[in-house]
Amino acid sequence: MTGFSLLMAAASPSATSSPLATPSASPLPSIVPSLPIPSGTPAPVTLANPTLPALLLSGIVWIPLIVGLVLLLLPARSEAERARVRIGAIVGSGFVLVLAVLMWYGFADQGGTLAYEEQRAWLPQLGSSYHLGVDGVSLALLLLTSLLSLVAVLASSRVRERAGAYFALLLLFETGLNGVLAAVDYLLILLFWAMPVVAAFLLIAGWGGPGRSRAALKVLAFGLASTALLLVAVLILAGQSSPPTFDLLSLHNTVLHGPATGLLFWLFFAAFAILLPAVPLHTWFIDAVAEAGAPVAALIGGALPALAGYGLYRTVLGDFPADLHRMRGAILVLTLATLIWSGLSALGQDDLKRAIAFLAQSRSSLVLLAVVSAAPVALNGGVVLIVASGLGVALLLLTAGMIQERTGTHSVRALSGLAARLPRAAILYLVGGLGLLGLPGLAGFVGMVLVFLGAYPVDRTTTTIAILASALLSGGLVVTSSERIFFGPLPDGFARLRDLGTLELTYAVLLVAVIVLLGVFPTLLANDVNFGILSLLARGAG
Amino acid sequence: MTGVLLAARGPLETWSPTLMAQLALLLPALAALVVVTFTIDSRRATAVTAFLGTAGMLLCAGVMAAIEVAHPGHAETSFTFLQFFTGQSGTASEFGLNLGVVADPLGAVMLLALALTSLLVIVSALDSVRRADGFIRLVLVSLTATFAMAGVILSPNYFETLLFWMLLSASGYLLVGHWWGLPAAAAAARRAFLYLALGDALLLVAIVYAFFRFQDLNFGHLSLAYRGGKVSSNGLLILALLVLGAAVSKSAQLPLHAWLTDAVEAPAPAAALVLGPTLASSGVYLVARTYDLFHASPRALAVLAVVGGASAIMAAVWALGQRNLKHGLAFAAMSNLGLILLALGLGAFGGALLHLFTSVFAVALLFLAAGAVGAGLRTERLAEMGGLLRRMPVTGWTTLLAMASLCGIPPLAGSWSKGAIWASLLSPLKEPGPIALGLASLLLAAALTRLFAAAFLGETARRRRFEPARIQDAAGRVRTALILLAIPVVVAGVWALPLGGHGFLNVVRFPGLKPTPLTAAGVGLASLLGLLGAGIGWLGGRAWRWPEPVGAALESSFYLGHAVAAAARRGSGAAASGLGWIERRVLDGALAGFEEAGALAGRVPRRLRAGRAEQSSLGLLAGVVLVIALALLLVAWAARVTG
Repeated sequence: MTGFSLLMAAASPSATSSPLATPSASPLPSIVPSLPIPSGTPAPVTLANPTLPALLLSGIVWIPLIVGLVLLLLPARSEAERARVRIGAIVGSGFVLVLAVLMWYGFADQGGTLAYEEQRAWLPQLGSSYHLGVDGVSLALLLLTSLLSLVAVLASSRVRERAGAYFALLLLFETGLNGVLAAVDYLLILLFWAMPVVAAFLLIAGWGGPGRSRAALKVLAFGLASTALLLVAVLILAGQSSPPTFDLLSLHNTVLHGPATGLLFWLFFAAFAILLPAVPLHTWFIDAVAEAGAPVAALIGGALPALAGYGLYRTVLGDFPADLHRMRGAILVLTLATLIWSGLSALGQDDLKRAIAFLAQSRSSLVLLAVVSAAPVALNGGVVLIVASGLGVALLLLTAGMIQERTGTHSVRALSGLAARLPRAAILYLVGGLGLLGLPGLAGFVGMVLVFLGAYPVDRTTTTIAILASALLSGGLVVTSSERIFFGPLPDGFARLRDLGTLELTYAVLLVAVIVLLGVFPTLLANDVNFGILSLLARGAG
Repeated sequence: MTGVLLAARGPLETWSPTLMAQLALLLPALAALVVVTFTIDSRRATAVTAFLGTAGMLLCAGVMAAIEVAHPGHAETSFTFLQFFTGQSGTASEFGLNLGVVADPLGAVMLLALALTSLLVIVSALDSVRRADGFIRLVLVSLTATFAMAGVILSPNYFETLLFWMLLSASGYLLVGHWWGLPAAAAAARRAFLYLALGDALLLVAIVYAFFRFQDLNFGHLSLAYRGGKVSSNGLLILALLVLGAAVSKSAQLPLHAWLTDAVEAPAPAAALVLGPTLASSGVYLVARTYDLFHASPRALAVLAVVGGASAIMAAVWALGQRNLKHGLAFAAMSNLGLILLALGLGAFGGALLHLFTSVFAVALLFLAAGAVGAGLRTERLAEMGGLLRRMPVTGWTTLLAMASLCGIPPLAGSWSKGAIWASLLSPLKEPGPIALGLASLLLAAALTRLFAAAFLGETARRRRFEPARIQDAAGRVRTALILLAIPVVVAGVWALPLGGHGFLNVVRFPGLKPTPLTAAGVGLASLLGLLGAGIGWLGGRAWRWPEPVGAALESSFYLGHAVAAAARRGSGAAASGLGWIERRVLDGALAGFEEAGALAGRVPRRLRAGRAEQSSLGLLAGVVLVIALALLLVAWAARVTG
């Protein structure tokens, strides 16, 4: 650890670069940002002198909600009014994405301190403050959630009924996602954690498929259960600290005693395992993705596992490494069970979206493998894998949605030979599917390799089985579904289908472009993530 | 760029082999990018771009080969692709993955073969694949496959090999499934992908194992480390077997050969690429590149020899039973690759690689010719062919040359390369490998001759509604490709001679083995076996009709592939239904109680449908916030009470 502690000493608020800090070669030149964005300044911002850059995080978190409330109040009866609502939502989430990219651009992770930190008094009697901040891990995931939210908004152009409420809920979803990632105070995290659950419940119930009520209730049930577990865990954790505080960083340094750590570990783990989703708590996820409209399904399938992964990184890995180490065997079994269960179940699904949901679950189990291995190499890869999986799953689900819109069915058995009329959809599906499998040149490859490289020394059997199972089962799903849906002869009933239009191409190509960009330049994300992970592990050791 | 240039000096420095290697690697990719961006709508422009790309690659490969032959050396250059700190101290404090190229004689000759074959195959596609059949897409995927194979050839470390290996699998999938509108081709692509994916997974396991044991993935560093004693012989064996598994899947050897007949569902140029210089050769090349590993583990060498020998013999036997020309050729190609692996396992490094070099051209030629035959006759069944040597002279004679070369009939290239293999086995003679080699050579020669006799000799079979007079020979670019590919098939064997120290066997050698020069005895034995096998095959010729159960069993390679596919299908189907049952009954059943309560809450969705979404959502959100606020107040009160 000597090298690293030297690093920590060198990283003071005024230091913008240190000789050891930046890994040597990155394809992009390291440009000193021309924006006046401070990096790693922990000085609290008071209401007396709010500086623009310090509001970036608040902006990213609250702008969607504000825009959503405005849209809620707008009328949406005629097509023109609906278009206005749509454009408002696009502008809102697009602006948030731009902010996120600006933040990433100006981000210079030195020693793992939080960047863009904001702290304001909120509930001082409880020890809770309005504390936001990001490190490499949360910034990478913020980019993912902002992008997925924008794509979901773009893909929702066909929503007719109660468009105002729909987009408001989508933006509420985004607020929740961004808020969890940006918040550094447990109460805030709890508050934001509930938002995607509620939004998903209402979105599925109001705009979903035939089985939507049941699916929506399951989402609510499991989501609230996860929130409740988190609530109890946070309360216990806060209760252990003196003076009582809900601040993530301060609680991290609290020394915990006795059986409380074990209980806390399992509470946190269970809360996130529900969202991962891990077997046997996954049925809500599959039903939700199957019954939600394609854009909502893309958010659920792509972004919620990212939240779960983030939670596991921050709490389980960051705060309870000893318990993680002790429970390693059990969690490895859970990982394999999730991987194999989802892989096999995916092969037997007739509903395309259900199959994709199981595929998403397979990739999430690899993130769990990275977490349990607690190896820096695997953890770096895990973050990249979360981002890649989120993008790939979203792309697949949106393509499924496009197919459903045109053919009226999700059933794999009813579809055939679509590549003849929908070649662009076929290409998108293959890019998304092969990308999820880890095709080199697409985002998932580097993440997957790093996760396996790091996890292998920890448990060789599990990693070997995971490699073989994920290649064969997930690979089997992608090629069999492509073969059945896209290849082969085209039935007469589908002879008049129209291929993707401009709008659909826009967001699909956006996703593909990011997937390819991350595939060819993984350093775009990986460099920033590294120090966040190191400081996470270092705190855990302290 | 950290260069580790050890090789040529002087005027050769400007033309440094690593620079040539990098150019040769990037040109096909560049051509593919140009096609995607600019020429995706024009057949001609695509063809020109592809031609320029592969011709440039050939030029660079040629220069690189010339340099390596003149001054054999080992040069590497790489850059850091990904690097981060691991938080540990000492040497493990940094983790890095590198990408780069290695320039040595082995890579140079393989690259040369790849470039030449790829150029000719892609060019011939302009005449054999119509626009409606997806010519542009075929060229694009062929360029990608060429790029991926070049990457495998030039890769200096395991990570980069994996990267290009997986890219190669994907290219293979797209090549085999090119005519995706046909259910047979789509199914073939799926099966091929699964076998190739298994190979990818095995290579990935090999990599994580190698990194775990050696903390390094560079071939050069590892070649020193294998004998360093850091890893036990069992460890080396495991690593070698994993690498061999990956190679077996790509080269369609036993037991992962079932995707072979699927590969011929591709159009002729695609099949020529897949079974010629790209996928099929990549497995054998990987073994050659990691030969240090096998050499350090004698048991692994033995397994290599057994796998190669068994594949060679079985594939030749199955080839004898094929009733379809392309299937017969596919098994012949598999058998040939098995021969090369067997030779590698027996220590005939130089001879095996020379044979790989010469047979790449021959196999590509054979599949292009098969494509021409299929196009001319509109059938691929041997029973409906015959007498084509008269009617399609160019195709017939070039096929004859290629097959004869693979049989080992002098003075064609194959006889020299096989002779080189025998030369190193004969001094001294080691049992029982050479027996397998001899048997496989005999059977392969018989199978090839049978195919030739059935298709090209005798009388053209009469078919309804098909006039033999209408059969046209391969024309235009296909004809040019066939003739140009026949040239190395005939003359490349000359390279087996010492040539003043620049012969193939002197240049491409494994440091741990003494290169055995070509001997007359070796060539003589190879020729004898070839002629003998050819004689047997010719005597059988078209007259060979196996009794039905035997014939069917041979044709479907003893139903091994079918068995695996059926087992996979039934197994996964049963498992999926079982898991689904558990989900519905057990997991969801546990929620039954909640669902009863949910029936009450079920009024919420109804109210939503009635259009009170806004109120409900706000209300629900308010409710949740209220609950959390209540909980906080509770905690605050508790804190105050307890002080």
